[in-house]
Amino acid sequence: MIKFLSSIQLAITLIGAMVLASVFATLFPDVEIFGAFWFRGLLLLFCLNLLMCTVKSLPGILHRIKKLPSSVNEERAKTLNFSGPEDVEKLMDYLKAKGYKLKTSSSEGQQNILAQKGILNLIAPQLLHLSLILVLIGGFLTSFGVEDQVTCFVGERADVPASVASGMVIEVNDFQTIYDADGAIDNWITNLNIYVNDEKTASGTTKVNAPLKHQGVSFYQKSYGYYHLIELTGVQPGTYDVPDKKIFSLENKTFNIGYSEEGAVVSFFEGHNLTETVVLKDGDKIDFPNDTVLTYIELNPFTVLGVKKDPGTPVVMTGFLLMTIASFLFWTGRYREVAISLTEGKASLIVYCKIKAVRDEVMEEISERMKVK
Amino acid sequence: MENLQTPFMVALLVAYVLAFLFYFITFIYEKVAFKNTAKLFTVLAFVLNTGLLVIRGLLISGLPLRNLFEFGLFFVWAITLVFIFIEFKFDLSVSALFVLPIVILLLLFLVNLDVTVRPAMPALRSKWLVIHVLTAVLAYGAFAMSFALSVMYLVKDWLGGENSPNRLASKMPRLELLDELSYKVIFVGMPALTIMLVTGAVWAEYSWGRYWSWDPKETWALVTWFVYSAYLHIRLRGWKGKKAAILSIVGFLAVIFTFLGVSYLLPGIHSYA
Repeated sequence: MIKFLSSIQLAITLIGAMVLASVFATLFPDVEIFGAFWFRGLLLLFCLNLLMCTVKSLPGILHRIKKLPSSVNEERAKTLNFSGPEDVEKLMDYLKAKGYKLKTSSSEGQQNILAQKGILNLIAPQLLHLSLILVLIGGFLTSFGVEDQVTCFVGERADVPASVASGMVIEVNDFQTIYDADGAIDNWITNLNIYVNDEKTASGTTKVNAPLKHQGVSFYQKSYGYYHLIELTGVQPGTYDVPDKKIFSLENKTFNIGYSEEGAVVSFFEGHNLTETVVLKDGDKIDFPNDTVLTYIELNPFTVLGVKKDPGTPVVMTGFLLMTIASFLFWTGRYREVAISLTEGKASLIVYCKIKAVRDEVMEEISERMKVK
Repeated sequence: MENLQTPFMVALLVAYVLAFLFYFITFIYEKVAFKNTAKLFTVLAFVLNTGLLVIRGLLISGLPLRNLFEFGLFFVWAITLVFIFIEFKFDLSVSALFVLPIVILLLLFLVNLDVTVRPAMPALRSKWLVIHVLTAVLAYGAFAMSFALSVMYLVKDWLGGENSPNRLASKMPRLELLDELSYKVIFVGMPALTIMLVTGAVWAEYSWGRYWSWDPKETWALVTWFVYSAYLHIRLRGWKGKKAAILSIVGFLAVIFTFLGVSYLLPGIHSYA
């Protein structure tokens, strides 16, 4: 069972199954795949496979890391001639210059050298496996997380949904659209206070790419909008809070009010054609027929924040960090070792590396250096 | 400066086509002068490609990595970079016959895209964009080269292998070298793809509040990662040569589908890419 769970065949089968499932899910988005019981089962099996494979290979890796120089089996080794200590010195200098770490020992007239390079690369696959396990565990924990959103007008308070954090309230102090030097939208920023059980516990800003975090709850800038507070006198007197760019008819005139940096833009239409625009500041008025007057009182912006509590995110992020480290370790060069036994004018040499081309290359370089006869 | 983009694109395309033609003539006539001319056009194309990226970067005041056109330009640039490295280190000029058509096809696609400079949306104004897309470029460039090497492997194998009397087969490197090089290039590309996935997920967490959304682009990037993972694992089981080459080709098809297919056929939250 352990052999099966740690096998590469199982890994490849699971990878194949996940590929097929993922492709199917993107081609048929209406079919629930990623939340399906069997898909989660695949992930669990994949997690077990990674764990067992890592555990199984750890002793071998530790053995290589702790390995000490020993007598080389002459039958499997290549034999080189060397004339004396100066040749040994030359060989060791060469290996050091190539970045090998050397361990030496001597016994009964024989000197043994073990040169190792790329030990970090040796642990990279296991570290990557562990990081994947962490990400999968984190993903499982995320399924216990909750996310929702909260809408709040500037100057008002709104409850954070109790499913995310009970007793938490936000108060929005300000909402701004930030523009860059070219006049393009750079970001949207909400400035808010956070209250927990009526006590102010934090204040700060949240914007796109920079969420605010407090007591395990993350606040994301999701959306925004504007209402316009206007007062009408005449036929339909009263104060109205009208949504941004919603079309109205008043005294046979069709118009909407839209937010702009310069002020509220009132656009008049005839059919679908724009006929006139007027920019209003707070207190400005527009006259309509039949003594109807529209007074612009103020802009009423609101912000929509995504709120999330997810116990899995820190675990996943730790997994991502390890995954990144493992990726860099893969680039440090393949693990290779050179074992040499020197005795009575000859050197027996074995090169180990999983890539044959590297083995051949290292053997050739050393042979060239030692001028094999 | 915006007007310079089209002439640069045309010059770039012409340089790549000429490079391909001279590599083809080199293959037929085996003259050093033709080979050197082909190399010269390749380097010229690479310089023009770099120049166009610089122009684009100046126009948007940042690294040009924000949309399909800019990513495509970087993709072509990375393929050429990997190709130049392999060509100069291993003298694999015949590989140009397999790599440069990919580059030319990609450029023909890019020529038809809108090159108008538009401001980036706030979500794209992030430091994560640079590392996320640059690692994607490096990975995809490496996988394109590996794809070409794998196709070469299969072609040579189909033509009869090492002892084939066929001219094309005899011009190609040893099957073992093609297999080994393809593996090495994937070994460079795979960590880059991993970092691309990780940085994308971290960025999504900051930007969208969700590190993974099973969006089609994300899912296909993961599919690509799975295919190349399978490639690396089957080699541990001793599956080299033909089987590995086929999987490498499947991997690059997944890359192309992630880059183009998803963008046009499976819209999602990566609609800008």
